[in-house]
Amino acid sequence: MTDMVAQENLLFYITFAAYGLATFLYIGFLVIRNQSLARIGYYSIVIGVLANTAALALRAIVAGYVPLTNGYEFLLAFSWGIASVYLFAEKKYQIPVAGAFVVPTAWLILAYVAVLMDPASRAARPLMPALQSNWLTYHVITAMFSYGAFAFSFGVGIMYLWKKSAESREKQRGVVAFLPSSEKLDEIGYRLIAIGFPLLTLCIITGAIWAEYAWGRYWSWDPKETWSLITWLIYAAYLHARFTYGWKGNRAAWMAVIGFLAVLFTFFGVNYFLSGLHSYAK
Amino acid sequence: MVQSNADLKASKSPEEQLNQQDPDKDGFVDKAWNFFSSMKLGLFLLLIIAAASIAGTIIPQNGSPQEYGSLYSLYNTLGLVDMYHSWWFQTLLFLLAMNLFICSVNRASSLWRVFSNPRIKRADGEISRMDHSFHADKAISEEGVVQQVKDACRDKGYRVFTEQEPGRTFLYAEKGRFGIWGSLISHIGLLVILIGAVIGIYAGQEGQMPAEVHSTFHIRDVQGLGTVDGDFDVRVDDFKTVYRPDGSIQAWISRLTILDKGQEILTKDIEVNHPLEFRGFKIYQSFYGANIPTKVTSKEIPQGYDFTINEGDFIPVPGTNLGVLAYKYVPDFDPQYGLQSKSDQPNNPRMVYVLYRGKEQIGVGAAELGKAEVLAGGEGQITFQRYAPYTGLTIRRDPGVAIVWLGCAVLLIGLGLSFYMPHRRIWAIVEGNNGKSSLSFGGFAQKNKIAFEQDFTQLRDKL
Ligand code: HEM
Repeated sequence: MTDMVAQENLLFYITFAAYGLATFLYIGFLVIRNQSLARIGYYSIVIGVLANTAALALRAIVAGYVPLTNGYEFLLAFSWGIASVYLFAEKKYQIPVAGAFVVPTAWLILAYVAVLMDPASRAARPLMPALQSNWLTYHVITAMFSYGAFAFSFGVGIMYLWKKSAESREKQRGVVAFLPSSEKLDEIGYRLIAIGFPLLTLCIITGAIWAEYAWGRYWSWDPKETWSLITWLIYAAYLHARFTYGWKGNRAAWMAVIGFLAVLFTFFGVNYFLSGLHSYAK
Repeated sequence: MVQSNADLKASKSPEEQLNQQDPDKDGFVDKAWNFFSSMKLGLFLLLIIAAASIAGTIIPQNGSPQEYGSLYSLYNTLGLVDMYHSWWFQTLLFLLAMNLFICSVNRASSLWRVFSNPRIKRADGEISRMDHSFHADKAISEEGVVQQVKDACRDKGYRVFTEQEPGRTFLYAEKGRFGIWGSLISHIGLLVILIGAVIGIYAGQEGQMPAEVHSTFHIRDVQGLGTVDGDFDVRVDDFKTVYRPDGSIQAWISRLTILDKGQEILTKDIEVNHPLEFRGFKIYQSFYGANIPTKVTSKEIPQGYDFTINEGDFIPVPGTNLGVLAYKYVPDFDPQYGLQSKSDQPNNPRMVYVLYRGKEQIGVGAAELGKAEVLAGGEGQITFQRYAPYTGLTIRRDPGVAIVWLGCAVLLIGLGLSFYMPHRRIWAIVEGNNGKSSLSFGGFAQKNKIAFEQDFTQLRDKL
């Protein structure tokens, strides 16, 4: 048992190191544009995702439940979501530079765990009765994937804003020249939100079903719920503005950035600044 | 609707295409209708509801007046104390629903036309202005090229239509045409959810019932459910707390039996996350405790008083300065185990209490249930009669829930269609000329342009 806890801890640090290495390799790739840095970065994320998966699996064995219930477990799952969506999206859209803008998020989340969470709050704890529900599992799994997709669109949004401001000042040299065209970034950002939005909807609905079983209320306006709704409304506004007014470019990129900040606030802000039913997840 | 050239470029907004129908309508009703169907209002509402919700998470909701201090009367007037149920927040939701409804009605018929009556013929100039297009001269006959285009498009999963004129063939190919219904279906889903929520607000009821084990209560006697038309009884057969080896709580389980006019209908164990459902009522395991009927007497007041207390209550002994803190119930008391119970079985049930004189603690004891415990050498006596655990049930009836779930399902179907079935359209004209022919080929997709570009490139390479 203690052995497994030690192994799980080791896996956490391997994941942390792998995402950290990938972050530096991708940023290096952005600066000196040597293809092999991106390639090693990619493999390093693959290793990170494997270790991350193993850490989650070990936690499941140690704790005896799907490990998505306390703050530590959710952050581990969050970084898993970002990194695995990244692996998929980089290949699909062929934009290795995105690594420099997306992977740091996964790494910083784990850095937060490493620096600010003490071992006691990381430990597996017995599940309180309300958390024993399959719906909770679906709820968090869909959250993970949608947040992963939003993290990617956030990174792409930042790239877009940078690229665009350089284009408008006609300073197309160096790093900026190396970024994909702004039209391509815009479209990729949209695609990721179009993937994330239905998943976020599913996440909110499964959460509502769980709440209905656990408390008899599918919606109680508690801060976490409300923030996930706010996030959802922001992305819905993004989709509509884009589709009906052709809001692309800067405004769309800003909304992608704001949307992901709302995602982060839903997790961190609500736990640390606001209170409510979900705050037991602390 | 006359299809204008505007829809040849996907970047032109469909709103423009769809709202162009009647430019000369400008009566009041039409203006109101246009206002309510406009996306401007929609975006404004989405963002303002988001902003208001943020305020609602920052300002504590439903707190006591003290929590807000001097701001209370201001907050109360502005409806910020229970913001999500305030008239102005509900008005925003209502406007959103109106907006959705009118905009859906508006768009349904044009969508139907695009869906059922695709326009096959396009002018050459129109095709060349599409997002993707090319022109090619071919050394084979018109029929041959038409066949090639058909095969290539069908291979990629497109449906193909043709229309012929002497010396010319028009082709139209499309994929994912059900996708165009996605947004409308999502909107309907959302409306259904809002309707379900409103029904819940007006027709839903909730009551709390602490029910002792072996007791039976009538559904209408539950506080908060006074006016419901349910007519059955609930009997609590058992209630237990299940612990894990480490002492943490694994579950609270109540065994309930539903009785209709004395007839047993069903028996079920409920626990958190597993409520019992019967005739539209849901019975949830939500809290627990125990009642302890207690009698206290003293020298001055020998007839004493009767109370029903709970663990942790403090009972003053009348006519003295003594007081008893009913500290903890131990089902199988053994001095060697202290406050821990030797087993779960009530082999030696005791009430562990602390005796105070004034604020000073002067003794502790473990009173046998049902036997008078002499306090402070006979100044008073206390009898803990029984220990009667109760299970705390929350009983709800919300006829809107099923509608909300239906709406969620519809919303998800709509989103699936919208995002995973992008409508892609292609037009082509083949013109024959003495065994040779020329091909104009173009198309666009409103959504998922990257995938369409791939389709298009592959088609171009084939042709
Ligand atoms: C939170 C609320 C809403 C949700 C979840 C929703 C959902 C959707 C979805 C999924 C799409 C397809 C978008 C895309 O593929 O990019 C869409 C399109 C659209 N929505 Fe909404 N919508 C909402 C509110 C509204 C409102 C208030 C209006 C009122 C004007 C509106 C009008 C439209 C229009 C005009 C389209 C273009 C659709 C088309 O032609 O396919 N929506 N909506």
